[in-house]
Amino acid sequence: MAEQPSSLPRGREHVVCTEDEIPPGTHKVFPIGRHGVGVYNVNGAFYAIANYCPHEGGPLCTGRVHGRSVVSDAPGGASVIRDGEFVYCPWHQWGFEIATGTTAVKPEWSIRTYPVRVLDHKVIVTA
Amino acid sequence: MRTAVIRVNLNPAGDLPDDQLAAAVEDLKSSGLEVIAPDFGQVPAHSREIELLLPGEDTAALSAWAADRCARALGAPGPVAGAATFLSRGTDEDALGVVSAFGLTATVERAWNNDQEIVTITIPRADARRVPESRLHTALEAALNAEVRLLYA
Repeated sequence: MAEQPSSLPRGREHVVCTEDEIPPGTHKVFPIGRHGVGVYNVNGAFYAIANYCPHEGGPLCTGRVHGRSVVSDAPGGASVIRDGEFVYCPWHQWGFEIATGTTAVKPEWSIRTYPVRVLDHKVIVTA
Repeated sequence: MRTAVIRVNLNPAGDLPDDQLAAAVEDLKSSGLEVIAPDFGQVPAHSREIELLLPGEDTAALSAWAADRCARALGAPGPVAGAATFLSRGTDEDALGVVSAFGLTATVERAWNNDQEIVTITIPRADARRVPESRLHTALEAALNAEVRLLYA
């Protein structure tokens, strides 16, 4: 892809990369908005989320991608479900669902998300 | 209008088969609802939760509607709505929603400086004393992905 400017204009659609540049389970960060936007491939579906944690402003999209822990059916047990669908901020490990940019733990927090579509193998983000 | 994310545990008792829950999700999707659902076979029986993305702001009403709609799709009573959150697309409504979640009211103004968006949020001075400014500012920057300036009037 051609070199991108320092910040992509808002209110427009941007072809940020090709589909094969973000295989399932990976992501890339692009210069959209004040803090950048991480585009994630979650099991073949693409989502875009601001690279900024609502807790203390950490670089959210440099955090690990993992599942969510829930109480398992076994007494005293725990299970990880929906692996690859949550991102955890590297600063304090707050976790957010990539598809919605939210967490049930802090309903007042909503991370900006962006519509993403794929056309002719090109990933297009509406900034 | 904002988009709410309503979480619904389809079967807290954990006694229904996965196939029945998957069929309920298909029914919800076929009626045009946006649904996020796990692979029920990979989730503990008591934690089979889905999410419905619904337009609206009244979380109590949306949660009640979602639980009822899931019960009808499932053909059995029992679905329980859980935490409700809101998607942010960076609109003024989203900004005001974040502000109201902190128990405040505000006005929103937008400006641009060389294609960089600056959002000015004006809060009544008396109300601002109740909420830590940095918490509110960080939450707003995350919801908008833009430079946020807080003013007190």
